[in-house]
Amino acid sequence: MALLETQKLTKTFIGLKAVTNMDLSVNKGQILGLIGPNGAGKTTLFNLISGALPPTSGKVLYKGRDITGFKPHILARMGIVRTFQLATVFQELSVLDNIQVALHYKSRVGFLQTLFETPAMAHKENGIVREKAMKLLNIAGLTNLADTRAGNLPGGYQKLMSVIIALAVDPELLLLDEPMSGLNAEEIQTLIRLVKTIRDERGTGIIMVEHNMKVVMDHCEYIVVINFGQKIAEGTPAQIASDQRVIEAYLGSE
Amino acid sequence: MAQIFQVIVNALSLSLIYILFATGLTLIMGIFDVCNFAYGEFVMVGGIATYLIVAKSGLPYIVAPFAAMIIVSLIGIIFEKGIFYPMRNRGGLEPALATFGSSTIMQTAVLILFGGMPLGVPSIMSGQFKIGSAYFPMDRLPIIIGGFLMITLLFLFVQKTKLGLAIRALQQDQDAAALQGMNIASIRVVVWVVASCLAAVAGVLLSSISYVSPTMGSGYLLKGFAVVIMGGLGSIPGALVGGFVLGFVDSFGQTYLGSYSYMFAFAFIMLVLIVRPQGLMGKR
Amino acid sequence: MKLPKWQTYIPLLFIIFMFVLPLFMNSPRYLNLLNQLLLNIILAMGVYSVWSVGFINAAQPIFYGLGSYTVALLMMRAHFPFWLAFPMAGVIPAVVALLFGLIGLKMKGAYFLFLTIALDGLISWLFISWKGLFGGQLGIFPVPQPRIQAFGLDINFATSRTPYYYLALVTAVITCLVYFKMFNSRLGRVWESIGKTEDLLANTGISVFTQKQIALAVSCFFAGLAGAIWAPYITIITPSQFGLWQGITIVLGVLVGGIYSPLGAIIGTIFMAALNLVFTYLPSQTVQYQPMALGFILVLVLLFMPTGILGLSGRVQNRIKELTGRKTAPPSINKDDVKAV
Repeated sequence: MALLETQKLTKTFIGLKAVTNMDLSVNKGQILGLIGPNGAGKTTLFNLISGALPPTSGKVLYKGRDITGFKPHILARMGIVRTFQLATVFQELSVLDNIQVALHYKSRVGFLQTLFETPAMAHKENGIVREKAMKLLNIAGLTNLADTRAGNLPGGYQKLMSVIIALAVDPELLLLDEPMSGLNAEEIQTLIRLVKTIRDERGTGIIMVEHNMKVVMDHCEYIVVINFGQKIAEGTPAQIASDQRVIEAYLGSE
Repeated sequence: MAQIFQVIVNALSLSLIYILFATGLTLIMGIFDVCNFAYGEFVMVGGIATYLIVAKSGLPYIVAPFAAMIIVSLIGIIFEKGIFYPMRNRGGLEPALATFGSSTIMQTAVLILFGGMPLGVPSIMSGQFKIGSAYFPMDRLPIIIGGFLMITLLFLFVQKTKLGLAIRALQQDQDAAALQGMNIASIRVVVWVVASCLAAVAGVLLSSISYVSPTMGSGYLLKGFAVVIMGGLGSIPGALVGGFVLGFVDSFGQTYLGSYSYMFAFAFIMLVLIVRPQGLMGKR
Repeated sequence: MKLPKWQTYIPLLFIIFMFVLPLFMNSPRYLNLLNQLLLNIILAMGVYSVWSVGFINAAQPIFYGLGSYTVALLMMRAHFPFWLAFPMAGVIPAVVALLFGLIGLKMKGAYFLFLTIALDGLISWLFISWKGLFGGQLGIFPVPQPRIQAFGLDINFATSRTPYYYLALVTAVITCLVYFKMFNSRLGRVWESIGKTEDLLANTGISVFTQKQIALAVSCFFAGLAGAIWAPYITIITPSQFGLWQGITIVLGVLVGGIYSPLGAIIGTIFMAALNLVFTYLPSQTVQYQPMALGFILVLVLLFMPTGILGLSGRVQNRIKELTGRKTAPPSINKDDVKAV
């Protein structure tokens, strides 16, 4: 059974079909690349899967369960977590606090619990959360920046952080929206290593929208090409690279 | 039957005033994404101007709308240059609070200058006009004519002129509009002038059927917000539909439900919001 | 926000000071002012917390009023003892707030502000029109006075104003403790992030709407408790005591104090109380100018002092640091800080 499957997923904005009859499937531990020209409907598709937008018709199945129209926070609790195209971090908080907020749901601290926990309990709980957060920062090599205000970080690091925030939620399915844009070669390598480490450790399924063709070709196991909201080709990187329609619609246009 | 006709006439004139007021409000809220809590005072100033021109100076009625439009537009420009433009990057809450402060300043200023007593302005037309068994109160006629005229002018302006197109573009996306080489700062001023003129005319028309007082604005502000929220934020057609709905709900409510009409109107708006949180004509 | 060691004792000293204050200053006039100040601080803390999740509640006095009416009606009609009616006076406003939040908290901040104003109108209208229950414009009186007879103590609230002061003080201290603890916890980080990065929060599995509901309900719970102290204290409650204008004054206090820290809410409320005190010494003809003065303060603070009094002190501190050369440089980022994995 596929980890995530979409069946004839369609989204129509007033007079405009953004995504049409999209069938997609990702397995556990698979990295799926989603490519296509700008405005092809990739981000809309992400919004449909992550619950930010309700689809006009069609279904989204997660581990065989129909999750169409679920709210983002429910999906996040079920293990579907996305990142955003623009680096999105909690600007005002420190790097460490960013991860701690992301760990918030996992640590299950409610209002009443916050109120009635004794300083010792809070200390212990904070310690556990802190440790988890530091571990994630360590994997990304950001330990030394733990106390820096996230908004002060350069763009590339913020991008890296937005992925770590997503990882803190412990995703089973990770949706990465153009994770490599704005990163330099070195940062791209760090991010790829980070994503692959997590994938190998936890068997996370990954869908990645990406314009950097080298990254997609080198690291995705399967690629889906969409244009005008429709799937025009799919297959392994080798198949895609030799597909005439893809070259015309996408690669050729650059 | 005669009573229903009467109520419909009242509802129509009330609706038109709500629409004038709410269109201006929705323009400002749609473009600047900020509630203008002093907008009720714009109407009040329009009313005060009418009082000064018609009742105090004895000038002909036709002077009042033009004078009111100029005065209120000046106030609108002060708001833009003094509050909205300097605070444009501060989100919606803080400028909204600033307009609230300005509203109390304007109310108090008028209270000090003119006293708290309601000021009466003679009606443009009086008497009644008999249609069958029903009477048509003549003082509603200028409101209906003036209201329709203003709304038509507004639609022509927004739909047919270049400036109107610019305003609509600005409403869609401020950054995109800037990229197309529009002078955002001056279009913002135009928006204020248009919205101020609408409020001024609403004030002039109102003054012929009700008293003018320093605190008259707050009641209309609430109704205006209700119309805007009901119709959909920033939507001029929404303000049109919402204005008619509230005008009729209000008039029929007051006639048949008495003091419970407030409750009724509030419950009605809440219901609309539950069913359509984006408003009747709003986009999601 | 980590405070230096000596600063952590300031609140404690302040609380002790407030506890012993009536021993030196027992003129009813000042006790009355202090009492109102404490109740306003409770309201202001609530307004601050809801503000931190992105909403301004101008109808806080209405929830306060609901608490007052609840306690009065429960004691007079249902013959509840005060100590049973008191918590109920918190619960009922909180429930009303939850229902209101179902619609209001789904809207943008500025429209929520409008809806609170409409709610204020609606509930005031209910207080006035439902004469059978709320007594109309004339209100309800006399609200019975509580009396504690336990552990050999007999404290009769009817004979002295001082017990009210202590009740208000204890409630205010508890409210502040709850909020300070809240805002210093991880949940506090979450609340501060609401309204800025909601999509991201939702993506980490946090139900932003639920957190907003909690913030609003808790703030109204405490407002109701404050109202429950007010009702027997003033003995006659009327709809005009819970108007929109009081709500705006509270919001103004929070703003003037500084909207970036719960401490600002307290400082601002004290400032507003002091301002009110100054107003009482002005000649009576100036009463009509007072709203104008408040309006000017509101606009000027927003335009020129957006971080409030607390922000001002921060700026002063920075200036002193600059002058003494102890400037703290912003943390710089070093390429070597990032190890390759």
